[in-house]
Amino acid sequence: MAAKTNVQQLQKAGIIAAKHNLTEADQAKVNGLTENEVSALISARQKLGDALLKKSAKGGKFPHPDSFSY
Amino acid sequence: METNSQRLRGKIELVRPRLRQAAGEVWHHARLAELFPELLVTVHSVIRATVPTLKTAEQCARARAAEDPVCAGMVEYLAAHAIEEKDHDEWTLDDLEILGVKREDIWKRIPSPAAAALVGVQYYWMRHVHPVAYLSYQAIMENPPSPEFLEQAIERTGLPREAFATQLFHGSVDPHHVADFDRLVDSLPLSEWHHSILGVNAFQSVELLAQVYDDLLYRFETKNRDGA
Repeated sequence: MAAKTNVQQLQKAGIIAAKHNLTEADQAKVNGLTENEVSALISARQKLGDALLKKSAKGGKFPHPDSFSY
Repeated sequence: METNSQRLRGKIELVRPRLRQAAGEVWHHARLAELFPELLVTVHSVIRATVPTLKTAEQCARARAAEDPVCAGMVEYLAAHAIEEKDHDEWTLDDLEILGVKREDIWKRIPSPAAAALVGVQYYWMRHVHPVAYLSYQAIMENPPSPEFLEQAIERTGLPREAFATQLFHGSVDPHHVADFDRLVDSLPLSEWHHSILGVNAFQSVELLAQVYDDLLYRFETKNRDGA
């Protein structure tokens, strides 16, 4: 049986919703992650597909801060 | 060929939308004027640890520098950056005083567990795994705010401009810090192992920082709903 790709593993774990089609660039990025990085995403329960699709959420002309910029 | 910093930022971009969503709920809140002092208190709860964590990262890197070229490459940068970041937490307290929040009251506040976890994991990674991990935290945290957005927020809230002084300062100087940071990361002889540590800590730190925003909003809305 062929080994699962990172995208497939993350879909199985519910981190990427199966209905979401990632762009080729995002798929390549995700499939380039190491096993430990994939585990970290699963551990953090990041909903990667949702997150990627919300790239333009809450905006306006200028982006709001998202860190504490120390 | 992708540089070290591009590779790190590419991973952060995968999860940053979660952070942007959480931060957006705060910055676009209908009652931002009331929420803003709480945001600054939260910011202070995290950035009070900036210089101490930078110094710890420097000490950890220095201790391994003789036999570890990645650590050797980080020492000088971390030492210099700790000096650059000195007193920024104090400036945030100054901004809060303008909003009528007393310094002594801020130190009595118990920070959110997510803030403690966010900072605490940095100590774990750099002390017990490798100091390079600290760089992903820095890449996430040092993301300059848009001066234009801050100007709009000042207008929208009607709060004194001086209360945004630290935010505005970061909007102007952090782009230089980002360039310095990228130069450092690109100069380090990182292996796949180092890249993996950077990615793991980046994913964990983004989620924890998003939780810090979630906690802030939850506490604010609960307090207002319950009239506490």
